[in-house]
Amino acid sequence: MNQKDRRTDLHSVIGLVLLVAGWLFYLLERGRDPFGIFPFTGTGMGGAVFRDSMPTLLHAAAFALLFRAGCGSRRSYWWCWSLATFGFELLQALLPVLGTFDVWDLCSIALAIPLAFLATRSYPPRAVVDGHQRIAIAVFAGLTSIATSGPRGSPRITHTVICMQLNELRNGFVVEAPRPLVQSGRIFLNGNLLLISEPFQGIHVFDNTNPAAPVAAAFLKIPGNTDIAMKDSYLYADSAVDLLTIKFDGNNATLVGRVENALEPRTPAEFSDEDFYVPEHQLDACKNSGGVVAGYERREDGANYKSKIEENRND
Amino acid sequence: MTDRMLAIGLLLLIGGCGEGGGGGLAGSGVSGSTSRFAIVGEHLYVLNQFKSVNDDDQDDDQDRFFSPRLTDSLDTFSLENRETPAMVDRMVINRATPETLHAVGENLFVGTSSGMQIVSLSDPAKPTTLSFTGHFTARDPVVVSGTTAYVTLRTGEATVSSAFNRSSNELQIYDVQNLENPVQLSTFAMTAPWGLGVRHGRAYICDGSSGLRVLTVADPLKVQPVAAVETDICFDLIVTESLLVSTGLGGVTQYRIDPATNQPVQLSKIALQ
Repeated sequence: MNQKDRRTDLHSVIGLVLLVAGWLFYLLERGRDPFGIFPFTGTGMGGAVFRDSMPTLLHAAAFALLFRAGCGSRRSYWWCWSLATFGFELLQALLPVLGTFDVWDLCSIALAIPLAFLATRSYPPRAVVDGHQRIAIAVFAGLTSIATSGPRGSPRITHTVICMQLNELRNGFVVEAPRPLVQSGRIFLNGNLLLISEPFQGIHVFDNTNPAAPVAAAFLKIPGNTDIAMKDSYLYADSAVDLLTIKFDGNNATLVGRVENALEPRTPAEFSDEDFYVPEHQLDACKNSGGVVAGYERREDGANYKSKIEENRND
Repeated sequence: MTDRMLAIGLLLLIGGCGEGGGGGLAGSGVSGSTSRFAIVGEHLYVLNQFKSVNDDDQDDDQDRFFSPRLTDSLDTFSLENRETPAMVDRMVINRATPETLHAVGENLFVGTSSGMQIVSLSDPAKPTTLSFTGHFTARDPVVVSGTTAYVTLRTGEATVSSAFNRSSNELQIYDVQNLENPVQLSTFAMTAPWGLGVRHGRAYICDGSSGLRVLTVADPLKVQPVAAVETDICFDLIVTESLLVSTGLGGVTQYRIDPATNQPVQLSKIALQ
């Protein structure tokens, strides 16, 4: 085996390694990383751009290398393949049915091809295949680049875990001035009182004497709140694992009772039909630190993703 | 801890509502149809979960791969001491995942992922199951008016992304005169129904992208749509004698129901910020 053959093999090996790395990325990151292997899963580290475009970068480089190893260094092949990859991504902007156009994918491709080219520049490999095999490799490379730059798989709504230590949770009840409603959860009507639970945040209290003009009266900050019920002037509300009793008395709302560890914390599932994902390892970490899950922070990772609900709303 | 007390200034209204002014309030207020809390008399009923005993941290390595098993339950808290509820009963619900709790008279109607469970409160401190009426798997609040139960079933809307996933969304109406043996009377196709309320032969339903819909259900065999309000997707609603309050993606909206047309007329909206 001569030197050129070994270089060709080296390119193939590097290319295959990058290919597998890209697939792993897909599998573990986009495929929900059930074992918590990726430390940045759900933390938003690197953000959506990093996660979306890393596989594209790896795969574009992988196929540049594989293609080169297989078909030699004739410039026509290089340009042919690079233009096809670019062209396909650009075509997605015109024809969404082909996939999701993403400027960052374009940048990944633009970055990957010169990288692969530079890495192999001083070792021009010899073509080891001919004729039909070249066509086969070109088709394979093309199809896989279509796959990598194709539509995003599943929606990637991540609900990162807000972990609270018990003392923090149990000091978390505060009567505050009214604040804007950010998410509206369960509602409760009691006489002239309208209560709106904002999932995992607390309860908005409104004077509803005139339903045509409800007046915000207060915000009861209750970490992990999802449910409310009132009897007379007593409000019962969950706070993650605790059941709280809040007494409305004249101008005041006072926390008068707390049954500790009576409840199991709820999840965002009951407030949405969205397909979302909660990083398991964050739940584990919270549990191992002796804390409780007192809420979730919704993160829409895929810039291109529209929730089912929003899609319907726009119809 | 010290609870910071803030002059709310507006809550003098509380005093009047203990006497139960108006239909259905009876001192316990009204919740939406997707509530997990229900107060009946001197008891608070909660759809809860608890960790099974045999999973109790004995094998931490296992927990890494299998999250601890949670069992669903209907928990009963006595409100004899108003300030400190005391748990007096835990009834395991293992036929399906319970999602919503609706109290009518001496009974609780539990909307589960695959059926309607009717629970008797003849002993308020010891609920007992009277019946379970199965349907296909969906998310489904249940409300009751008189001897008729109304269940909405939602499996999501057919969208581009779920085009291959034929969805089934409907309103099911049951005769629950015999609580131990509910009889299905009819079904009515819907878009993607969430919460609902029934009042005077009219059903008000949050129906996904179809908005807030009003159906006549006085004759369960002849369910007819009579009105609809275009609105952001609402998840749940409360209907009282004079008022309809909905909660959803657009915030909390209040309507008055026009007696002549049954059309909900918007009074106000607490919009999301």
